[in-house]
Amino acid sequence: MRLPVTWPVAGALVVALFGPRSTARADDAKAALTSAHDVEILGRHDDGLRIESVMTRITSFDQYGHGYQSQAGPAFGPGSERTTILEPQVQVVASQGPRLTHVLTVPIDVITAASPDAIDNGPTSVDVVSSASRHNVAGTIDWSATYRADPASYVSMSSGLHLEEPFRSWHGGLGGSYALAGGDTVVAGSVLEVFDWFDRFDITGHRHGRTERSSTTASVGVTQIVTPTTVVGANYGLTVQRGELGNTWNSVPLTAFDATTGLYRGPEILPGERVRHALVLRASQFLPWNGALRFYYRFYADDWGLIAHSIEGQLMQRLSPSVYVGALYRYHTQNGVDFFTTLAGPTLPLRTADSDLARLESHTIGGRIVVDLPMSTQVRVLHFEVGYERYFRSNELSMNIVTCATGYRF
Amino acid sequence: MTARGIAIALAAAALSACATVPQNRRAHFADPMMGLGDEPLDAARRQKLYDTREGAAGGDGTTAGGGCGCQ
Amino acid sequence: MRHWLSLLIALAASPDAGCTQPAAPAAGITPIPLPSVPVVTLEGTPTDLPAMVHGRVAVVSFWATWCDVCVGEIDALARLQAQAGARSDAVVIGVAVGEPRETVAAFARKRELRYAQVIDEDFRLADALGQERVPTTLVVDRAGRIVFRGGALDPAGLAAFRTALGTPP
Repeated sequence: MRLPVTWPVAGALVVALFGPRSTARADDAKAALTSAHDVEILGRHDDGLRIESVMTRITSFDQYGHGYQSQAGPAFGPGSERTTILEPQVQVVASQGPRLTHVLTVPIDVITAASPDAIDNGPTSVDVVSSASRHNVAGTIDWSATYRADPASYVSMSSGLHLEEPFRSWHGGLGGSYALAGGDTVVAGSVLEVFDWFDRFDITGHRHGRTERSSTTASVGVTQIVTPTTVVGANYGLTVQRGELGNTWNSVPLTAFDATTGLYRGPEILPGERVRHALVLRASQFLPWNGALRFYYRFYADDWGLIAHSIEGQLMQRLSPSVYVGALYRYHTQNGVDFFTTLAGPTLPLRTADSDLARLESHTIGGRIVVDLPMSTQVRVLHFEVGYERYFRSNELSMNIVTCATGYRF
Repeated sequence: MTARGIAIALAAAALSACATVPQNRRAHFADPMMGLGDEPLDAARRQKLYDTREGAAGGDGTTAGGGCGCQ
Repeated sequence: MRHWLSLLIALAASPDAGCTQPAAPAAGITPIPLPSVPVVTLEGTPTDLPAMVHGRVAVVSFWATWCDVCVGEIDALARLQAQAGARSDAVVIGVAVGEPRETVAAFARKRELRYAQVIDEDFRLADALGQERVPTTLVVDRAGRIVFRGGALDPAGLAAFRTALGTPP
């Protein structure tokens, strides 16, 4: 952002260029240089709020599939998990002086949901999501502020709200990072608390007041620049969740008729606590032909018996200083929670038919093209991106994902 | 080598605090392709997709569960 | 959304993260002569810094096109050169490190850089001076000695420059 040339400096330049050809002009120039205020050279220090970048993205998720937790199908399932989700997002990064950076993120979800809509099957039942449009609109506002205490240390605070038709959530967190070895090594840690409170619906769509849950996460991470072309990172996260850990209206096919529900289905019964561990390893390697290879691996384990491995590779190739393309492949495998079942006895203390908690493998294949155009106006860089991904799971779920982003860096 | 062993080795290498790459030689890391993660909005929507369609979540500074009705 | 742990790491580990180091005090360094290490001009002409400085007081700025802080101080250096250019005993010189001449020349054309530039593609000059960061600001006196080392151009660097100008030849 160009700063104004003040009158004293402009005056000195005019004298230097157009004044009488005499030693007086040289003396004036010497005087200007030796007496010029620092602000005339360096510019005025601005402690106000300055927008650094604005990024917008819209993603559509077109999901097909079936799951035993869904009633939208045969009595013993699996029912339809057909849904479409439209997710516009916006993120604004602003600086406030040289030390403070604010990031405001607002994602919105517009969701059609088949499973809760199927609950609306009589005059006494309630459509969980929306009686008017059979759409569920959810939105989040998330704000974080990062303060640079010194060139190597950052501290950060974040908070936000999520609003959804039957659901409210608040989150807040603190974090910090410290750079060692001239910035080659960065260690970081954070704690995050999420508190949800939401309507309790039974599997026939009747509301029974509200319930809640909390999720507390502690994370530590380290990033290391290994060579001029290689950077690696590792993160560990521990999450403890307590409270109602399901959505309350997921159902499980039963071997016997349930008189209270009038169905061959009963409610999902989950433990009241879940302790989750996740370790993520990442690496990014610059390739000599102006490309890059990004690697990701996650190991996950929790006390519900679920163990999972996720591995992903992204290969990117720069086509020009402004354009690069990328392809990705992700593989995920998990063994399912201990109490997953597609047909439960009525007296089981724990049971779930949620297809997300089953033994499964999933694949994601995708590609994108990214354009970063340098501009010569107040907008320094114009960012444009479009991508497509295909996600498919071994237990009858697949998704087409199209994403498009536009951004501005000032 | 187990994942745990790799993590310990990485931590040891990091905490050795030796500056292996001078700051003026980090040109490649200014390229957005070389970031360890995706662009933040892209990372957020992908993380949410996998968190809500699979049983595993977390490990990358984000919470593993909670925050929305999309369990 | 809640990826601010990643943001923290990205901020601290960014290529610019070292760009905000505090400036070395002018009184704290022992003056050393400017080394005669070969560099090239934007046009590809071989030269070295002592020849470029040629008995003048100089502000030498080590920079790179990928360094946002470096690019951010180009206008300040141009203003400094606008004043220095009016006298015969002061000059501002940019030293682009680690990049090919063509890359720097294209950038210089686009930004219409108004002060002298040389290219140190293989870091030979930077290594000879023990400089591992960009931006780095040096102040050179009339005797060709480095009397100040700092990070980005700041009031301490300008003060050292004015002090060197005030020193009689």
